[in-house]
Amino acid sequence: MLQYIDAGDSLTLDGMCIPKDPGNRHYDETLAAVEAGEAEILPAPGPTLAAVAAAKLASIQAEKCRVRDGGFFVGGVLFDSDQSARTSYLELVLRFQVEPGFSTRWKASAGVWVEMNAALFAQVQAAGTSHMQAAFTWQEARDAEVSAILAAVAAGTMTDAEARTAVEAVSTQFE
Amino acid sequence: MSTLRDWLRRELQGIIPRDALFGPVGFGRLPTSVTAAANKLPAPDAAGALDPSWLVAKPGGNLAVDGNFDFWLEGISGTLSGVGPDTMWANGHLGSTKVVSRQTFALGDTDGFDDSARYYSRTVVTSVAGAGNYACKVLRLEGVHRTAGRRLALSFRGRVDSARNIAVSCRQYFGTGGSAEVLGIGSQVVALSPAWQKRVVTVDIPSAAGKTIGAGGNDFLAVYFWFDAGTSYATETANLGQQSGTFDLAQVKLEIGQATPYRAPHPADAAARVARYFQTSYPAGVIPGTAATWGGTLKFDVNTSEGGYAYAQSGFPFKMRAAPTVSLYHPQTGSLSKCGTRYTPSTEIAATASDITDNGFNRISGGSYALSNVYQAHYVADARL
Repeated sequence: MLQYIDAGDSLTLDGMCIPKDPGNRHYDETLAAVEAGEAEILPAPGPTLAAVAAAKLASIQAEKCRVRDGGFFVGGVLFDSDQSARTSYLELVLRFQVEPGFSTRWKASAGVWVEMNAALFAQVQAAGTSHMQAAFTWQEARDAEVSAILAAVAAGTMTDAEARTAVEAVSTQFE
Repeated sequence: MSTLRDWLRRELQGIIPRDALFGPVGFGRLPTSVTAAANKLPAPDAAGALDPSWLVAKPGGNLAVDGNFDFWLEGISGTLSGVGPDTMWANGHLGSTKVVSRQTFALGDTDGFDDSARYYSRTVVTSVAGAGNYACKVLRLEGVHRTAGRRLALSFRGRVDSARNIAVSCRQYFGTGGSAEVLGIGSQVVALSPAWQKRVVTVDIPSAAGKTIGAGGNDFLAVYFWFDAGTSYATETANLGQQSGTFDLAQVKLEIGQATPYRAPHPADAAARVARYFQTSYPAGVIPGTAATWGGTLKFDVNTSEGGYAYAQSGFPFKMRAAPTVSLYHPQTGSLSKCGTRYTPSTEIAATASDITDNGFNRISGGSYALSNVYQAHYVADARL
């Protein structure tokens, strides 16, 4: 029996995309075949487990990047942590190595200015490192959850449907 | 001996009395000295009379789309029952089998024809005994109303491997949801021989008064050339019967009224007519699904506002009869339901067309499409009846 896939505004069969247009010969023949019991129209299958997992990992990665680049607080002041800011912090490290007493006005984040010196920078560096590590630790844990689910399916201890549900349940929100 | 042109010139100059042309026998009377063959005209009868339609014949007027068998866009031979391989024809069989192929006329072969031709269609039938078995070739004319209640003249060149009959008949199909199909209209056998011969048959198509045409716009008049027909089709085929053989057809013309000489259309006109029913982005002579050039592909780009889709940058070159069935092919590998990018040309990405209309299709889906990439695919769009 021929099995057509319902793809919303069209049917698919063997690579043909058949619009649900009564003027279309293939659609007309499909309906006749279905009526004659020679064909059936099946609902579109969902994405594969691998695709679901890949999409989840992509979402986790995006959330990690959002958190990593979203800034961190030192003494109630928000400091930027995007790529540009991290490059500037690296420049400060080099400057303090050759001139430990260096001090300058520093734009911590939009509209927030501080007096940056070695003492404050030490706090910023510690808080920034902790912030980054937290983001990556969170991502590693979520990735591990997804990997464990896929491993369970491979080991036969979890069905595909159970795995889909479990993957969907993996958080993509940084706590 | 003089040519028709010379004769007409002399008639206009008063050398030949007008009565010789518009004489007591009526329009179309010619002196027997006119060399009809030189003008691809039929010889006048003993009284010098000539079918007047030959004198007023104009190019065009052929209801058949690609009666010249110039379009073989999916391949030049096939064994399946259904449309193709001659693009605008359906080739049906049940029980019996057949091979349909494009054949090429040698230069000079068509000198005796009304007009020149490059190709003809050959059907080699292997008959299998069975009441319901058959093999036939079918031309479908869009719009059943166009020919209803009219006399049609069907002319064609035919040839067979040994003297044998074929049968012709018509069917009126009123579309999905329309009145019941009318079968066996004008059934008659036509004798053919191993030499190319022109045959003209007339068919009176019933009126469509009182009929209902379905709303889908897929109604048509079908013209059948029967090669092999079991007893179930005796009425529809004028008792043709079953037979194996080789059947060649060329220069098929269908007209309302009287038959006129065949005139091959200009290639551009013919291509535009075919494009209403079948279009492909593949270059001429390249069979869909084979490795090909990237040239001519449809292009799709990605809109971040709606994930999972890439959107078409253009539509079909010609508006089609209805929303067509669309098949996509990777430009480089020819793989079905795939697209690709020039950045990584051998990579195949899943692609399914959607939002299909008679003007084009709006998007592809099924693959992972990245922002800023342009995806390309060859397509085949089939809106044939």
